[in-house]
Amino acid sequence: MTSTNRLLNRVILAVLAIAALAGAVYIANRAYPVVAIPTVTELDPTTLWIVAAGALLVVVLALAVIITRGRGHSRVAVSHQADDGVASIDARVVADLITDDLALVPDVTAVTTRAFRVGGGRALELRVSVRRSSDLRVVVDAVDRAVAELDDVLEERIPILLHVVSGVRANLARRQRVR
Amino acid sequence: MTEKKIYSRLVRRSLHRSRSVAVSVALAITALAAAYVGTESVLAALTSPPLLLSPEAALAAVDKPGQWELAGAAALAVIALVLLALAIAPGRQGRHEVANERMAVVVDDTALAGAIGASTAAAARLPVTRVAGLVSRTRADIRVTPTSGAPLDADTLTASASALIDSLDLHPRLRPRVAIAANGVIGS
Amino acid sequence: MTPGRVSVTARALQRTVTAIAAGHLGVPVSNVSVRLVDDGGLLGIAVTGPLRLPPLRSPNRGSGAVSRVQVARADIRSDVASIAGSAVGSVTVTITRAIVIAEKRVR
Repeated sequence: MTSTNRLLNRVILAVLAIAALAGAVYIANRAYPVVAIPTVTELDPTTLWIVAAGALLVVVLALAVIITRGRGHSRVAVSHQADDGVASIDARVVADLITDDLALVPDVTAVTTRAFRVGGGRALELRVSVRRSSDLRVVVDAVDRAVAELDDVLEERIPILLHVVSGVRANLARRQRVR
Repeated sequence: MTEKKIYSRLVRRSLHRSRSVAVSVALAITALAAAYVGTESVLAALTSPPLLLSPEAALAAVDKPGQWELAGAAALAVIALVLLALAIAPGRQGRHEVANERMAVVVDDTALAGAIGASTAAAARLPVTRVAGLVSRTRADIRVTPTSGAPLDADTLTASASALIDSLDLHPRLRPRVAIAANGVIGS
Repeated sequence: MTPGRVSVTARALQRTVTAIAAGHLGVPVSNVSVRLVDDGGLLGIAVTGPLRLPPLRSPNRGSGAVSRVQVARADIRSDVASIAGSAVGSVTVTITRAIVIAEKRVR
């Protein structure tokens, strides 16, 4: 979950699709001429250098786009900057606090956090793993209570995404222990 | 950005794939291909021997496409279709949104199915192993294997599943369907 | 009598500051890492480590995490100035983990 431009991702995929299709159509058309597509036969050095330059441009653009994917991840949940230094608190701290608070909720098997920047501010994803046969209402209520206290402790209300996932492995471990 | 907008963005992004991985892989392959083409072009322009296939030879091969070239064209067409599918398909993540005042909440459909299954099993007074839940975008299919001699009422179980689903206030809305197996299991 | 000179190695200074920082964060020294930099002639301090915090729903929780960090920053600054005699520039504290310990009720 980042500030990646999702529309751009899909546009790029579509552009690559069209390029691949163009190549396929060109080759097929040479074998079974349907449309009059001018063939490329000239291979003088100028053309070759132009092709090489174009290829270089493609490489640079492709690498540039790849590098910018996944931006927006951060480690910091809360940060206060002053003239004499910075006080900052990592997302992991939130995970530690909430893990401790949810320790008595048997349905919860793990709590992890990820911080990222959204719309200029910071947000937090709280990933809570639950056993397969969990009571979701109890879990969500417990997280609600924990987050209410967290807002107090951090002295700030961060936008939080609670993502409830199934922690299958942990569930199996518990079953085996009971047996 | 207002808080409300941030929350709706958080949810929307959690419910659909970003395609960042697909784009990165596709562009990496494209960069490799472009690097190769560029290298061969430079070598040809310098009248040096080619690495694998000189531009001249490549154009000649494509000019009179044989089996290999047509196979290559077919492969390109398949790749084009896959990329187009990735570009257009919504890429839903198999999650549902739960209404909540303070947070944006999304639940994996597997966790949702487990919870609905467990609640149905409790309502039917059966162990959870007898209930299988499957959650899709708009439906929750619950299959219950009863104990022989202890028949179950599908409507009651459906009502209890409905109650749980309604209390969670899910989006997109989920309609529960309970199917009770014709054959039960001896002993509870 | 001419005044003498105390030569402090960078290593010794760093150990001192780390001990001071760990003390104010309430955590073991081995968990704290400190980087000393030149801050326009002053001593710049960057602290990375955990913070001792009470459980989220403890009845007498005291001040919030950010306040504790700000207090720690100020205390680190003044202690380093007085103990190590350095003129301190910016003090940055980054809390990486929470060590959740129920604080005893003050009688």
